[in-house]
Amino acid sequence: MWKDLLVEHRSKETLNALFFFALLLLFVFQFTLGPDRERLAGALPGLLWLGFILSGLLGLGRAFVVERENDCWEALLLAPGDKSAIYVGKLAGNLLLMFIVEAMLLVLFGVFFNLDLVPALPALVVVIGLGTVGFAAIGTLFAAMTTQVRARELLFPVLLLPVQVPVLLATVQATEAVLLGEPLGAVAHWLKLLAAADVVYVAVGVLTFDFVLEG
Amino acid sequence: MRVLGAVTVVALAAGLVAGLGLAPPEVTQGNVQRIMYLHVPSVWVAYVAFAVVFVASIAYLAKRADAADRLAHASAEVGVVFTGVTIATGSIWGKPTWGTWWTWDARLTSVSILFVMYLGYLLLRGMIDDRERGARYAAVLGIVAAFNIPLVHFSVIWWRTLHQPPSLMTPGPAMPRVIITALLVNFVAFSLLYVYFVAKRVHLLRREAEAAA
Amino acid sequence: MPDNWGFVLAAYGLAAVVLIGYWRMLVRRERDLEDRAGERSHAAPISGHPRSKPDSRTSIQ
Repeated sequence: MWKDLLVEHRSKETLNALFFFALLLLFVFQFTLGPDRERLAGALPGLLWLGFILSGLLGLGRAFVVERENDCWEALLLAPGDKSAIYVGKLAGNLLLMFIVEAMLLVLFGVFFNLDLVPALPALVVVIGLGTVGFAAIGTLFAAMTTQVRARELLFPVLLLPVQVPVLLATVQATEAVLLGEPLGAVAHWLKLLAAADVVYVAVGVLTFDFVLEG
Repeated sequence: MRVLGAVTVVALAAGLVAGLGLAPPEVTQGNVQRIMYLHVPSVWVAYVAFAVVFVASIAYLAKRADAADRLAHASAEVGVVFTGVTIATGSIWGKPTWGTWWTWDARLTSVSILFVMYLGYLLLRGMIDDRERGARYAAVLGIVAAFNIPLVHFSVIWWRTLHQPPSLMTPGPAMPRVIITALLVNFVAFSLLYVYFVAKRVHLLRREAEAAA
Repeated sequence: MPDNWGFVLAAYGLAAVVLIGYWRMLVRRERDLEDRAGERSHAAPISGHPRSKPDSRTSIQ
């Protein structure tokens, strides 16, 4: 896992590119939704998560590309021991990446759309955390699976997005409530769903990663 | 196989007669409600199909039996077909009932997500040339998708009940016996059709594998 | 409501088209496969169609 963090650190280009992408998304949101504050406020949770997901797709889609391009893939396959450790490591790395991007997006949103996110921040962190784990867990698994497939860039989102729908629904609903100032207790059922999904996804990822990396 | 086919056709015919002829028009919706005899058995068969995909996927990863892989593939394909039928009939039922071809109610939405998930499954299989890897990856996907089904189910229902009362399509608590019988007949008919399709598809897959070997 | 029978027929018709279409695809692919298998086995006598030989019939015919 430390190797991955180092790799990411060195390839700050990914982070920079994602930051720039997030910025562009913001511009697009502003241009498409116009200056209408009401519409923007209403769409905000959705836009936020749209930003997270699009950035996530870009970032995670490349999760294993570095290995592929540098011929580390075979080394990964031949590595002795539990392949699940690789999954956890990759997952942690991806989570870190996504958290950084999400933090950036939150700040950008706050600045450009003139929002005060501070009061909702702790609750927001919980919701975003749970949602991101769900996204990254399956994303890491699918990224490994699609690395060696034709039309990788297309298949990855095509596979990931339908699977992510429940997580997406839950997080957007919860984010909306939190941004409206409601306490976390009000969205307890969504949080439980997210927690359950996270557990299931990570467990499945850990258990099946061996089969994906077999060669 | 021929016997199965014949029995299936008879059952389907019976279902047709029961649904269109014998059962009375429903009280509130009139004759349109007859579409239920297509829609509900279809979605039931689809869920069964995807459950089979789940089990077969696990079996494949555990035993590496090609038969399990073929079963998963066939069942997924047939499941997608029936899911498509479910969506189409649901949409057609919706038009006169709700006045619109599409609505994001709980049932249609979940089924659509199901459709797209398993379509992706078939896409994955189509895009991997290496047979063994394709089988492995598809199995993993089959397992993920199956675990996702209840998550989809709950999230969509919670999402909808905040905005809209539950859909009209679930049969009421007190249904006349004729309607229940007609529904059961169609259930049986569709189940038989599923078995027939899967058997034929598995057979085809095996022959294709042998031919390629 | 006579108007709604149109929808009923449309639904049944659509279902029939899809299901029968799928069935026909299966049958067609099976036939193609058997034709190709028949062509490939040059040793098979001209009159001996694979289907007519009892021992070549698989259990799921």
